[in-house]
Amino acid sequence: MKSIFKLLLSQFLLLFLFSCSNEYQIVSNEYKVIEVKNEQDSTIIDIILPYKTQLDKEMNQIICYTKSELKKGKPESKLGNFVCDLSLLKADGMADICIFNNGGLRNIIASGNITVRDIYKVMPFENELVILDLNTKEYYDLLKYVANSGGEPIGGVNIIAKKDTIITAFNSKEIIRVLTTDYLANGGDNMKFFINKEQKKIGIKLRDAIINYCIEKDTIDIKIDNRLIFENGE
Amino acid sequence: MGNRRNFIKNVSLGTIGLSLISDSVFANENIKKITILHTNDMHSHIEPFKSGKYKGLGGMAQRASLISEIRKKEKNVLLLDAGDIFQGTPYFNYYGGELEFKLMSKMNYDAATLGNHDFDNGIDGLERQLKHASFPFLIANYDFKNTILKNRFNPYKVFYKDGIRIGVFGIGIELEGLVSKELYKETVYNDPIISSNYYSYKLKHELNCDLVICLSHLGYEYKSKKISDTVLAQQTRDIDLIIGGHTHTFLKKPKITTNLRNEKVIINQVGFGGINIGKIDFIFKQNKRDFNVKKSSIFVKKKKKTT
Repeated sequence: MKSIFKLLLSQFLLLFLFSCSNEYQIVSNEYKVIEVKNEQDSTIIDIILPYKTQLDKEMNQIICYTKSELKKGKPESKLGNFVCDLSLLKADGMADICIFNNGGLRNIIASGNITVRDIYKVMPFENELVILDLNTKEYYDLLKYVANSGGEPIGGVNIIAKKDTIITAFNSKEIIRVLTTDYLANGGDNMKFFINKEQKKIGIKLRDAIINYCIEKDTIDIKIDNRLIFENGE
Repeated sequence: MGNRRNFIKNVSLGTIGLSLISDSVFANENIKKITILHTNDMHSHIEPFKSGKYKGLGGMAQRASLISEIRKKEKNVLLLDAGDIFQGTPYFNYYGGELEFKLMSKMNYDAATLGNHDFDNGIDGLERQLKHASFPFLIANYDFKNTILKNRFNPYKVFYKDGIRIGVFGIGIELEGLVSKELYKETVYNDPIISSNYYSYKLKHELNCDLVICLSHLGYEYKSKKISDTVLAQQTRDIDLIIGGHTHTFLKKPKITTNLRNEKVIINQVGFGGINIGKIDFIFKQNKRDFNVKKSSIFVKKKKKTT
């Protein structure tokens, strides 16, 4: 018993020494944040070049013309209306309304020619269009969400939000078919009314939907149409 | 332990501590210098920013020449990345990350960890690009055993530089809610604190690393109780440096906090998009006394097996 104790003790001591036994100890350190603005490394440029040439060719294609600048904003915006309305057209009657989020629209589209690159800047993510069936309670939660956030890109419905009431269409419908992205459908941006609902894919990414629409049209003239009105200073 | 305390004091001295060590001291075999270079959240920024606040900054060809310049001056460089290499420019949308991995390989990155956006083309999309990366991805708290990525990553790697042992392990963020399940499939997220304590102990005390680095994609700090680099540093025992990402935090200088043993932990993160490179130099001094102890440590292990 005693010898076991001794053995344990010696092992404990050795372990203790071992625990601070690393051969080298840090005695000091120094740090620096360096901005990257050097000359280019030519071997790296050589690797990039074929990729860049092909990509630029794709990206610089002019696919449409817009009469005015498309910006995002609240409660309603030209960019939001544009993206929602074309997505609903893409869904071809399979959805009643459409909702996206302002945070997901990443850039403006300047007036004039629209290139593929412009659309990539607006929608850099690989988000897909999906449809979810909402019941009236969930639909009301969606409307409240839009009212509380001061407005999000929405299409297919007009909403008048007063202090405590929301006036809108589809109130009597039992199931409202909502078009959105898989990102939001999975609860992104806190859209909790979508969580755990079945998602029907329509088989196209949001970015591709925008690009295809632009290719089909020569010129677009997007308007603010008062689809979203907040009263009582909301 | 005394040296550890000196380190703690010297950290606050920063540059002063280093400038006192002249070249003649470096000639002394007992002093070693290790240079850690690090990036995070490069988000497919192959080319420099063309507009906005960061116009003219970044670019992988520019980063490569900066790194070569540093490699000419410094003998022992370790080049690391804390994840989110993918997503952010059409280069990713068109080529799926191939060019990012090729260029990082060309720059001789030593290791990277995985960020949530590295799952943006699914685990299949990540798997397809791995052949273009000559550097390992380290990830200690994702379990890929029921996925296509099974056995493709190690939790840690030990680097030997000029006699110094540097243990690096990777920690990823919880994917649920951040990445759609269709993309990460059966990848299992394990507790970062438990994983970090396990691997940092192993690196420091079993593999005798002189420096333990955690490459983390948890994010710098949150208002909520969500696990972050700051929480991780305080809830673990054997990490010397956390190189972070995810929150795109531009730290002017690293944050220094204390771990469960009340020892200093350095946390650093350098924004996003390849705008900056972080450079941290560590000066090590040899601890002569330890030679004997190390021998006996082997003895301990053998003894343990027989009991």
